[in-house]
Amino acid sequence: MTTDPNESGTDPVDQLSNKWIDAEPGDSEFNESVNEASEPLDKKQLRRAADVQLVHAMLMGIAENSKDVRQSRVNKLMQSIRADRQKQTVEKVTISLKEHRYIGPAIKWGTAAMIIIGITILLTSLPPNKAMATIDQMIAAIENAGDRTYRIIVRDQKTGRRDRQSDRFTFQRSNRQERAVLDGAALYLRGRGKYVLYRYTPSGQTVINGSDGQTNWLIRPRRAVLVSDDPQAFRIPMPENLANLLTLDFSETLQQIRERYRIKYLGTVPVEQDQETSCSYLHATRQNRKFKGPRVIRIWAHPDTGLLRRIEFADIQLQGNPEPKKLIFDLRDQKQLADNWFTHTAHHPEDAEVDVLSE
Amino acid sequence: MQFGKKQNEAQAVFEILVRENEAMLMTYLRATVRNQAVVEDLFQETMLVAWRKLNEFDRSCPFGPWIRGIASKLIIAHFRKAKSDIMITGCDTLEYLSQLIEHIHDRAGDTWEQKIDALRLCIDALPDHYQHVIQLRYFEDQPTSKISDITKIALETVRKRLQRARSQLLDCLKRKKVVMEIST
Repeated sequence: MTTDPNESGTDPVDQLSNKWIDAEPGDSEFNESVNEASEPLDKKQLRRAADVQLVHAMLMGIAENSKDVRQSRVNKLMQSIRADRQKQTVEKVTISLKEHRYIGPAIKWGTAAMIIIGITILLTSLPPNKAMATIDQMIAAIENAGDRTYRIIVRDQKTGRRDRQSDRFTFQRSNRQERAVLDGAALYLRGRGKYVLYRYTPSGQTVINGSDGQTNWLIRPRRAVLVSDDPQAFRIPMPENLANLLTLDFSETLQQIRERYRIKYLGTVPVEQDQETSCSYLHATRQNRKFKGPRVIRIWAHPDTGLLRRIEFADIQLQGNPEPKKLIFDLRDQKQLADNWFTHTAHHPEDAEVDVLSE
Repeated sequence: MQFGKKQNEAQAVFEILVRENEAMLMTYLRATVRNQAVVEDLFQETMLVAWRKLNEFDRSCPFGPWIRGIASKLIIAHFRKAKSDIMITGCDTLEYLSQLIEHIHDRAGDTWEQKIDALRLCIDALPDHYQHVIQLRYFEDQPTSKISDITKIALETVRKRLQRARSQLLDCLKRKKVVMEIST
């Protein structure tokens, strides 16, 4: 065992901080030396100690060059965060229940009476809950709404990605004709029953369906314009599980959702990319499996007017594609459209051939 | 559900922030707390508090100082609670340490390791007998008593060598402007 006489005679602050760094578990020497220190360290000395401790920490950092250790540290944290999220959800419910449990007896009776009165009023005059009230407000809003333009988006249910090639609806039966694509389509609405739907083929040609509320019409590339008084004419083929539910003015759709879905009002939240505007958010789950409709529908509405801002149908099965999709109608514009916008003449040249079909 | 999806997205973003700041925060904690088990606990606690308070985080500000602010409070609480543990640098020095670390964070390099890469050059520049004790103490994780046994050098001498080695490393890092001089 050797000692080096040149190793002595260093700064007392360095000695102290190095003792702190190198003290071993159960080593009382360091604590004693701190307690024996007659004067507290000044600012400069403290900073010197901090500098040395930083070097120590950096050395420990580069020595711990094991990705596994660091990975397990992060994994442990993320596990805690997941557990924390679950715990917070449970706590919220528990607190809510506890708040009710500790109400004094007098308040309890008073509250009970108020609740009974409230329920009576609700049952007799008001919709059963906020969700129903919101749906009713939305249906009423359609009656009074001005012109609206919705963008249609089709997304893969699992990846959330748009896939324009996958949502081809059979539109024209001729094999030589391209099929119109629903993703990226524009839907123009006025009041109830008036609509224009612009869809595009993969090569960029336009297919237009529309109704002025009296007649339905269809415009296809290089073919005669078709017009009919039959309300069922030129309906857009819908996925099987939307056929009974989706109407292009949404009022019937909302009415069906009201009757056949369990609806929850989940407060006001921003819509996907539009973080500045908060909307009333409804989550509807199908009540009866026998009903052919999507299992889940999510709805966003303007919190004051009830105007439908966005509606999202989950698990939609498109023709020729087994992968489940999300079909989304997203409000993009509310500008006033031309008076004749919902008539076919506004969408084709004057000299276009028009076939009026009789019933 | 929308809320769940948003939470998942937030969690994924937070995990990226954790990975980016893990080495930095560990350095900050190791510079102030001696017990490594406590350092690990404080790391977990700091990041968990940060996750819970993420809504309070001003996104126009850097994440590092915010997370070290949370860590500082937890470090102080730890020393108040654990009377057997001693903090020689004091609470005021935490801010100073935070500034030193922020300076390192601002250096060129994608990762913390790249930012403090100069430390390896500084170790290489040490005299052999200092390099040896640094190697044993940090890279082989030996306590000073064991280093004394291995090197057949008196314990006190091992400690002095470590002290001088760290002092020389500090000077080197200051010369390379990794550790900055902050005027008092």
